[in-house]
Amino acid sequence: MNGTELLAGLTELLGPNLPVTGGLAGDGAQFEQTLVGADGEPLQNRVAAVGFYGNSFRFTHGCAGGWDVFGPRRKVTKSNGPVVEELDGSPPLDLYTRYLGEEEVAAMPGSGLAFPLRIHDESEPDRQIVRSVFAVDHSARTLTFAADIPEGCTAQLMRANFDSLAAGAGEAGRQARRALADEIAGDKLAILVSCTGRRKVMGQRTQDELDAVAAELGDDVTRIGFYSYGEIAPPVASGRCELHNQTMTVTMIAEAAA
Amino acid sequence: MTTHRLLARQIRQATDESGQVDLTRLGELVSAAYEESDGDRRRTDRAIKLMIEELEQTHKRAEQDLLRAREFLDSIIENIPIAVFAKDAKDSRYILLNRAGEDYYGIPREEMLGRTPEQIFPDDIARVVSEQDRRVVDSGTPMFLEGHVLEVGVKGHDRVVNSRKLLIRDSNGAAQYLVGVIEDVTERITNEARISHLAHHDALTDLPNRSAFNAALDERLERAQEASTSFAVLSLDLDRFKDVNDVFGHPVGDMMMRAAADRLVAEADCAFVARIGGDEFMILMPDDIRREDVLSLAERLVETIGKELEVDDYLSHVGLSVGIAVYPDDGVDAATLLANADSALYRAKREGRARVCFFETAMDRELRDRRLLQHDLRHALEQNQFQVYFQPQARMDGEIIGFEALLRWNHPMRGFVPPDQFIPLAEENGQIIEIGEWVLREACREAASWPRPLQVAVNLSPIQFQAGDLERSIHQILLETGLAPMRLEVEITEGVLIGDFTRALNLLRRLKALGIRIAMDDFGTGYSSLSYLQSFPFDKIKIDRSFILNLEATPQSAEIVRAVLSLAHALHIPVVAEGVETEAQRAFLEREACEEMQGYLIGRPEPIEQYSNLIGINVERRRYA
Repeated sequence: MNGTELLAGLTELLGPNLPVTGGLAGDGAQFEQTLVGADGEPLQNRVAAVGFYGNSFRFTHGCAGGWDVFGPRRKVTKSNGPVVEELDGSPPLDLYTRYLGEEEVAAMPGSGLAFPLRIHDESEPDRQIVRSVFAVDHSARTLTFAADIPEGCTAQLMRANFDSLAAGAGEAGRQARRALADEIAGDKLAILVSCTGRRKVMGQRTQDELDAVAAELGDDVTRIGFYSYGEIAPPVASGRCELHNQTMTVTMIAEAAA
Repeated sequence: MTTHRLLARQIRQATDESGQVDLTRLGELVSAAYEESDGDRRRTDRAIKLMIEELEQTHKRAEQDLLRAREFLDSIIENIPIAVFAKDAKDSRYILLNRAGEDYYGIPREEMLGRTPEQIFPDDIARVVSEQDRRVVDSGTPMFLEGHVLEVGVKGHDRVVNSRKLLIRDSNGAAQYLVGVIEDVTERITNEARISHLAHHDALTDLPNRSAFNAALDERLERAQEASTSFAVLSLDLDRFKDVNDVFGHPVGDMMMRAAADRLVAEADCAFVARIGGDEFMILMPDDIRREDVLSLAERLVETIGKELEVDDYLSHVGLSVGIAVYPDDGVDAATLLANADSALYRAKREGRARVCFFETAMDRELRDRRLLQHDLRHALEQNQFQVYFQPQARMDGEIIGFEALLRWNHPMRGFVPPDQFIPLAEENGQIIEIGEWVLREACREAASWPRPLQVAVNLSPIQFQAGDLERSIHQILLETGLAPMRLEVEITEGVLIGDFTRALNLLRRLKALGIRIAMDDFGTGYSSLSYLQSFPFDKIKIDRSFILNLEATPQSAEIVRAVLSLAHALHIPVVAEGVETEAQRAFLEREACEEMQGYLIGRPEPIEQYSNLIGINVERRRYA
């Protein structure tokens, strides 16, 4: 499933000014099948959407990762859509094998979630794009990512620790909460979409990121959510809907007094 | 002590509703958390180690790239065939010198690098170098010295160089380096001088050429106008030089030309001598020389050239004709002076060569007239101004055997123009080919119409032999007119055989193969080389009229005629005597067994109608037919 294409389809129908948030369904880190339910039995190959409108309806969002780049910048010397075939002239699986060790490579693509890529595209220098591995071709030694990675752009490995991921989640909560300008007395709902990769890295510490979001949102907000294979939210800077990897995305919905 | 929040969470998860802690469960959770931490640490350690390795590799690669780039630039600077140096801007200490630089200075770089000019060069040179350096550093303006002799080093003295020095500043704008390049331009300058010399000199004689002469003349005119001086321009032409080339070939001809030029220069001494064309020279005489002195120099030139030229055992006689025009009497601008010197030269040649002529106004008229005539000649053929006259030829007993066809030009304004005036003009511009063919066709057509099968003789010009397809054209005319080939006789002069002898001989043989007869005209004048008679079986020899005219006056003429006749008889070639005007001449020729004659005694050249009876047409019948 190509998340970029899905988002392009949504934006084409809704127009660029209507914010869309949410995420792609996940299955732990099995990468086998994902299910979506809408008015019935959960099924594969499904998209569910809920629209909100009204004068007193309030809607805010936040999105952050907590990952840091490390190591040299590498050039995407050969790619085909979301499939990266060469990094600096070598198969990308070789790079991940070195960094993960033979043992963990066997558990790819799940284990690869520990090292997402920061993509820097010269044609869009302001766009902060993070992509994680979604599929592996062990014979061709290529990697498939969640969205297109253009040939010629630069890629740099990223890593995180338990604390930085929790801090990133807190940042997403803070963004959403702050955006809700006026004080609203009524019920408030926060939908938390976190990347499977984060949970994979954090293990028992996963609760830390939920605690961090909760601390930022406050006690008066009800929280629900799920672990995804890609988060959808407009970044604070651009406002245009984007597909993210390895983030915590928080969407707040509230109703102001009539 | 505060409990770690993960442990607190694990205890909470292992505690049941009654508050009982399940230690096994807690142990599992704590153990799993340790595993996770260990895994995370291992991954982190590994990542850090790999990252350091990768960064080191990247750094090493960058260093190698830098080294390669440096080696590349170094090898270019080292091998560039221009001396390059760099100095510290502060104290002029040398910090770089390439191989060409070592060669220039004649000093190995170990003895220059790290040292100041004062430590390297003698005091006077070091002072100059340091002063230049200070000037460039203080002003910031590059220095460029063009075409100077290198002041130091083994290659100095005879080498000419272009040198540059310029200042390089650091990023703060402070003077950092002085960079210099020194380029050896000795060869280039020598080449430029040679090219310039070639542009203004004749390659064969190394005398100034036409363009150099024109420049010198212009300069002289300007000076003469300012200073009111006079000077003479001489136009010179070597007579018969073409024959030298034809007879001996060009390599010998070139040597002869150089020898002749040397003689001119030696004799003309202080004058400006230029070779402006094949065998043409011009001389500019010094200012204010009297006419008689110019004349005597010109005569000395004619005399010296007239002396036998000997080159590599080849002997040759050439002559010199000179035309003189004087500034300001004969012209005040270059074009007029040159044209008038040329017309004086033309007259000198016409008056018999090896002569000197000053320009006279009448000459100018003659030359113009000649050009006018040449102009009219171009239209003469199409305007039917040419006619063919016929002069009878007879045996010694008076029996008519044929006619010589002779071309006449009846000019609408001038009347009849003498052939010796217009034939050379037609030969000059090649028109003779077309005219000659016309004469041949007219003569053959006429002869073919005669009731009596008499011979007709037609003159061919050497030009017709050199150009055009004479054989095909004669063959065509014979077919067209239906004249029997054996009735046609062509008369050639030895001019036909001078030049490409083999080609001319082949052509004569082919003409003869057509069945026509070939006569040698004007025999006894010119070279009259006996080898011509040997190399080709001529059908007839015509003794030149000049010998017949002088038969009675000079005994030598009679002897020559006798000799020619006995020679021809020995070779079994019949002889025609031209210009027979008196009975005494006829009687002499008959005594000496001359076969045929032509001349006023038999009949003048006339339109063929005048000789109707001779060609077998009854006059009355023709008149009323």
